[in-house]
Amino acid sequence: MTTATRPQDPSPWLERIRPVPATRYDALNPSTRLVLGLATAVVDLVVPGLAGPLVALAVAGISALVARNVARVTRPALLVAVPLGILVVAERLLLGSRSGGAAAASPLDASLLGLEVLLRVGVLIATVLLFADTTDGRVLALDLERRGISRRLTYGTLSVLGLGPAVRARIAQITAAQRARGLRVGGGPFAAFRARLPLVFPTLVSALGDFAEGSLALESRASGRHGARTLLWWPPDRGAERALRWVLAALILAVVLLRLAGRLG
Amino acid sequence: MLHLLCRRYTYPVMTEPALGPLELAVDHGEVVGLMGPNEAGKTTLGLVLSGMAPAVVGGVLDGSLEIDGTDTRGQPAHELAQRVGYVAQNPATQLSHLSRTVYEEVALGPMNLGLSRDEIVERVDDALARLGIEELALRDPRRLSGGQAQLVAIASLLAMRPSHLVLDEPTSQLDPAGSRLVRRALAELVRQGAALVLIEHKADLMDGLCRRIVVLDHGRIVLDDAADAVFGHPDFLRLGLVPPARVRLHRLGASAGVTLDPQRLAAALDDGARS
Repeated sequence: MTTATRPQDPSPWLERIRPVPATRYDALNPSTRLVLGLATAVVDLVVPGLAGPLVALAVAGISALVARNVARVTRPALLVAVPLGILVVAERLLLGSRSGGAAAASPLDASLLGLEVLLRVGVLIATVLLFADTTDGRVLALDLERRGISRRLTYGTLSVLGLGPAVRARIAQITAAQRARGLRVGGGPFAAFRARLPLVFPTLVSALGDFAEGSLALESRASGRHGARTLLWWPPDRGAERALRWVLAALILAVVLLRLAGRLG
Repeated sequence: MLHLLCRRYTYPVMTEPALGPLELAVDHGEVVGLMGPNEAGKTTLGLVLSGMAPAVVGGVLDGSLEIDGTDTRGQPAHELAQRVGYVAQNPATQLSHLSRTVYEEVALGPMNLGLSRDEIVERVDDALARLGIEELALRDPRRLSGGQAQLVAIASLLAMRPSHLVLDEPTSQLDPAGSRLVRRALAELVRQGAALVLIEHKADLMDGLCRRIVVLDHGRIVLDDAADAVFGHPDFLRLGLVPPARVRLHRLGASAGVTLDPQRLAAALDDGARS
């Protein structure tokens, strides 16, 4: 439960700690961005044929345009999706049709299937990247907490999400230190991977140690206390966004149910 | 007042005790410096004195911790946190990673306590000002230097306004100016009646701030006396501990047949640190 009144700010800092949205997409409530991303991913993955990924592509493309984030999400999405699409086309042409028969698929069928895979994977990656790039997890956690989601759950999720980057940063630090002492991590990606592999487990263990120390720090700041917590600010939410979220939630449910019932083809 | 009677404290899963037997009392307005070689049990004693062990860390305390005459057994961690503030030595792990700005990071504890916005703002503004870090208020806590993170962690503790404090190497990553700010803020809290336990390797921070020094070795108290008596004790050097610059210079002067006025020496050292 949180204190839900918003009196006049008693300090000039309070006005300034609120993030200033750089684009109209950033101005959306983070929960709206989350539901929009989920709906895009569901349509992309669940609606059969090219219709689903094309609709999802349109939504993701418009979102990325509004967020002025097209280049940042497109490059990695294409980097993963294009090779996969080509692989599927090659596999269809060389190894046979989907039914498992010996005859190879026609170039048109193979190309359509490759395009479908390319679109589905690309749109999914772009949607995830767009959300991750434009949404600060800490602001989303604040918004979810205001909506009554357990604080422990949001804290826990943020901590777990933070574990990956923490391990990566520590491996980079250790690798730099080991390099200075003669460790060779050059010679291609496989050699670099092999050089870093022994560091993963001890780094994970030490990151878990930091995690325990961080929990102690949180407890010493009364994070384990039950009852009302005061929020200094929370992301704005408009009536239109609330309506949009309900519509999108209904869409997700409808698409999943229709697919399960076999009504989507 | 903090009063710990520890026959033994054992960490979870361990069989050998990390601490004890020992007894330590810290009065209101008293500053106790806790020193000792590596693995002496200083951090463990800090955790037990703040009630975080066993309340959060786990393990078994055979004995009792009384805060202002009340036994802390069974008290939840968040209640203990309002009575004894604890800051661990690694600033990176002291930040919550839940706040977008330093301002919100410092406000986290008071927010968790459900205080009014006015009270939170008053506490946060005060804590930031005491440590001279107002200019960090809008910075992302994840992008602070080690020293800045340490100041923010201490400011977060000050904003909790606990009655007593246990600080584990609070200036390990600070420059002299930062150390001086921390020292001034702590001295102010002590003037207001807080009991303060300072765990430090650097005797210089203790010098002048701590009237009493406790030296720990193998989980037991081996020296507990007035600061100058401890700094001059042969066991202090035997344990590999280094007395503060003032004491070392005084000894150096004495060995060269030069008598140094202690007050002028302290003032000169302070001026040196300032410049």
